[in-house]
This record gives sequence, C-alpha cells and structure tokens, in this order.
Amino acid sequence: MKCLLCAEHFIPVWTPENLFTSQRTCPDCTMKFVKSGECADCGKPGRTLCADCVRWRLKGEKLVTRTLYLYDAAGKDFMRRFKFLGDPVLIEVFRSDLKQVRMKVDWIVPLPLSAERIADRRYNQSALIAKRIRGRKRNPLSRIDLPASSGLTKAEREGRENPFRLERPCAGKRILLVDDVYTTGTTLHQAASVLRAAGAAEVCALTLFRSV
Amino acid sequence: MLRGRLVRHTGPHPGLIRFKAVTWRCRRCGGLPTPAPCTCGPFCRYCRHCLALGVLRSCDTLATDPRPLDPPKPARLIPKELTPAQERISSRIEQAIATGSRLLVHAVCGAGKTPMLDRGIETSLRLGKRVLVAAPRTDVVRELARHFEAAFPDADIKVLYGGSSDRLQVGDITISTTHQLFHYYRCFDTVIVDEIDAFPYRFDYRLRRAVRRAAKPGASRILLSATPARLDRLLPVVTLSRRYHGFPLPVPRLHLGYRFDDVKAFILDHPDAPRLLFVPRVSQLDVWQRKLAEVGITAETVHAADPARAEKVERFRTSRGILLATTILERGVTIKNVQVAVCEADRFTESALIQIAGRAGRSTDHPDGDVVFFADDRTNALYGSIDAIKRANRG
Ligand SMILES: [Zn+2]
Ligand SMILES: [Zn+2]
Ligand SMILES: [Zn+2]
Repeated sequence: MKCLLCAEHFIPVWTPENLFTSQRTCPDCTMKFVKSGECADCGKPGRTLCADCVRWRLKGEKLVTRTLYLYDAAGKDFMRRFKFLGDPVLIEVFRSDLKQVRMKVDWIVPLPLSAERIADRRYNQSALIAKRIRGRKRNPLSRIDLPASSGLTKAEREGRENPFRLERPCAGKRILLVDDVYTTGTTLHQAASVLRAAGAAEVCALTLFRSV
Repeated sequence: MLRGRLVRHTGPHPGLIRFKAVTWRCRRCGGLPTPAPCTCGPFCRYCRHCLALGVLRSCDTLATDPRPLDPPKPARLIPKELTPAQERISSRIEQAIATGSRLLVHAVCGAGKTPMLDRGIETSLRLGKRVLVAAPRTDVVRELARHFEAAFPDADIKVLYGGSSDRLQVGDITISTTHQLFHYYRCFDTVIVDEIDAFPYRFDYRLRRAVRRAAKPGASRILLSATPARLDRLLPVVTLSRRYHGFPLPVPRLHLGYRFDDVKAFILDHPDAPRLLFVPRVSQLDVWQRKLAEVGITAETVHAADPARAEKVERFRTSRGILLATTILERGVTIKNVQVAVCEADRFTESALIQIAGRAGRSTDHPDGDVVFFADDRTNALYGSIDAIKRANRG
C-alpha cells in the first residue's frame, strides 16, 4: 500500500486491534505524530491545568477541548499540506483516530469559514474533520471576514471582535465544536460564547492539534 | 519574459479532461485524479501527482500562453576534438536532427556522449530549430549545462531545475530536468533526452508524457542511453562501444558471500584513491557509516534528499576520502581515479550496476579502476551487467 504522507510503499501489519481500520500511512509516518499532553481543558503537555486554561476558567469561560496531537514539526507539515497546499485527502491519516471519538452530544458543529475564505480554498478543513466523527452535523454558525488571525500577537487575538453570528436556534442542545488547530483557543471560545448566549446546554470542543 | 508557460485561470476549457467511459486524467501531468470535497459540487476531483505545481481541480482551468516564440539565433560553436568513432555518431545525430527523425544512441558509460551532441545542436540552431536537452537528474543537468555553456559561449542557454533562477523560461538551448517539462507544451523542435534509463524516467509514464508534450509535432528526438530497454531498441540505433580514450571498461569483480572484512580489505587496498561505496537504501547509509567507524575508518554519506549533497560531491572529487552513497551518484558524475564497491549488490538493478561500474576509469590518466560487487546472492542483474560490459569491450 502507498503511504499518504511520504508516498512510499509499505505492507500493512494487521493485528486484532486494527483489523477493521484502514492503515493509510506507513509506520514511520504514523510514529511522527505525538499525542497531546496532560492539561484537562486543552491537552497542553506539562501540568494538569495549564496557565491559559486557568485564565479562561477565571473569566468564567471554561471550554473543555479535546486535542488529539501536538502541533510540532510533523503537525505543522501536515497542516501546511492539508490546508495551504490544498490536499484534502490527507484527512484520511486521522480517520481511525476520529472514528474512535465518542462524545455524548446532540450536534457536531465545525467552525465555519467566511464566504471569501471558502471561495478561495474551496473546502472547509474543519468540516472535513467533523465529517469523520460519528454524530449529527449541524451548521448553526456563520462567520464574517476579519483580518487573518495568523501573525497577530496573543493580546491582539484575544481583544478581537467576535466573527461568529448565529444563523439558527440551538437552545438546549449539547454541542461539540470542531476545529483544526488550537493555538490560543480564542476562536473556539468566541464561537462557544455565541452558542452559550443562544441557550446551548453544554459546549465542548475537539481539535486535531494543540500548539505548544 | 515568460513564454510557453501554463497559467491557471478561469476560461472555457476545463482543467481535467474526461475520456469517454474510462476515467478522468490530469491535463497537466496525465495522472489519475482523486475525488475531493469542493464548493463546486460533489463530483470534483483534483490531481495529487502534480500538487507541487499548485492545485489543479476539475472545476479549474489550465491555459497555455499562445504567443509565438522568436526563432532561435545561430550560435558559434567552439569545436572539441572527437575520435573517429565519436565523429561517426556525431554525423548520424546531425543527420537525424536535420531530417527531423528519431535516433537512439547506445553508448557505453564514459564514451563522451555530450560532446557528440555539439554539432547536431549547432545545425539545429542554424536551421531555426529550438533545442531542448533533458535529463532526469539534477546533477546530470548541471553537468550538461557546464559543458554547453563552454561549447556555445554566446548562445541563449536556459538551465531549468527545481530552484533554478531560469524557471519557466525558454532559451534557444534549454537544458532541463524532465520534471520541469510539465510547464511546456509544444515548444521545442529538437528534443535530446539523456539517460533515458535513469530511475524516475523509465518507470514514470507522466515524465515520458511531459517530454512528448514539450516537443512540437514532428520534432526530431535523440535519445541517449548506456543501457537501453528492449522497447527503446526498436528505434533506429547507433552504437558506440568504446570509451573516448580507447581503453576498455573495467570489468567488475564479483564477490559472492562476502563478510564485512572483505569490504574493509577493499577500502584498505586503495589508500591513495577516492573510494565510492554504494548501498541500496538511504537507511543503510548510517549503518555502514557506524560499522566503518568501529574499525577506525571515517566515511561521509550522501543521498538524494541531502541538502549539502552538491558540496559533499565537490569535496569528494578532490579528496582521497571514502563516500557512502545511494544510487544518486550512479550517473553523470566523473571522479578521477575512483575505486568503486557495491555493497549488497544483489539488490540493484542491471542498469544501475552498469552505470555504477561505468564510474570507474573515466579519465585518460587513470583508465582502469577497481570495481567490486559484494553480493550475498546470485541475481540475473549481477551476471547480466558483467556480461554487458564484457560484450561492450569485445566491440
Ligand atoms: Zn490547557
Ligand atoms: Zn496532475
Ligand atoms: Zn471543484
């Protein structure tokens, strides 16, 4: 079989655990990704609750985010190819990881892209991630275009206006938000606050990567 | 001046064409595209094979710059001394270029293939035919460029490879890697392809298609090879079985059932010559380097993805060191008085072994050299390559 990431041929090794999952990457490429760490709210390695998450809790905006892997060199390379070079098939690399996600929620909500951004990129990377998770997918949010978040400092990011708007009611629903990378968590918290204000019962989040 | 360049924009022609009842094909590289989500609808596809050149979706368009190119100007040639055998091939090449026909030049390694092209290229330019010289490897392209820049000092020469400054341009003489030819469509009247048996080109139908599409219809095609495949031999062939200095090719010694001590003995036998050791895989470079370090022999390693590859090879040329290499050094590299050993030779292909043996004894001062194949097992490739070299020496 041909590895999705390095295009080398490899022979899949079947074990009772992975008999029903498809292996799309060679063992070398699979080993490159590092599982995220201890923080209960964001998976940052080091402490059981990291300094950022303590601050969010003090503000009264606790958002439990499950992150699958650390955003290290391998993660950055993956996101560069998946998002910026435009290779959406690469999401198959995390197919079995995402399939194993089981959360007691009513709706799975991928973070939307602004109209301008999606016309440019042609697909929403968060929606592709959400598609691999079991459950009902809904899009109650929309997003307006603000200057790109990459290249801003932490303070600038946190002080920004909320780009999300509510499109349809979500009162009483338990919601799982899905995004690609958790950097400072501002974007996810903004979306969560819009949903909470609209009466969502419970909001949690899932991202592929946690930046370190 | 960007010419003959393919630009992606919105227009009437779809980027991926659909063949009836077969499948979709990428119009740029000819590969099979992959279905992917897209805003245009559920049946969009994109090509992963040429993703490095930018995404091309079936809802995108691919356009060619249709402006006509200026006719090439004749260039002054500084002629090189040729042996009578080379002279014979050279005039055949010239004739093929003038009549727009095809020719396969089967010449042994170190026969001096490149200088034989000079007169043909001069004729081509005089007749107003644009010349493309393509090779699958960047190292080979650099060596070709060095030669032609010396032979045609005032011609318009463009050298294309990944990261070169001339990318997407067309010169009177264009020297290019085959990968860069995806950007060209019907640009060249004379196409010369060197090393047609080299690794990515022989098995990659996309690269062969790129070369075909870069040529104008009716262009003359000259293929050069030391180990042509059987299918290529159907073309008109000229054969040159002598090296330019007239000495025979060094015949490889076969060492079956080798131990590490045998390799060590080979290294110690030639203390004052550069020694080149080939291993079949990149991961084995470190293993061999460590093994040699244990017995007090320092060796450098080089492989295709090595960023310092050009400097290492350049340093090796002038030193008396030991270089461990994967098959990237098998072609187009001339090192004086080099001694060659192949570790695990049973895992190499026949053409790779012939090319490796052809590294030795290329210069007139040192026309012989030691070539040893260390193998654990007998393979057809081992005996086939030794046989081919002996046959070439008989003439
Ligand atoms: Zn945290
Ligand atoms: Zn393609
Ligand atoms: Zn599309």
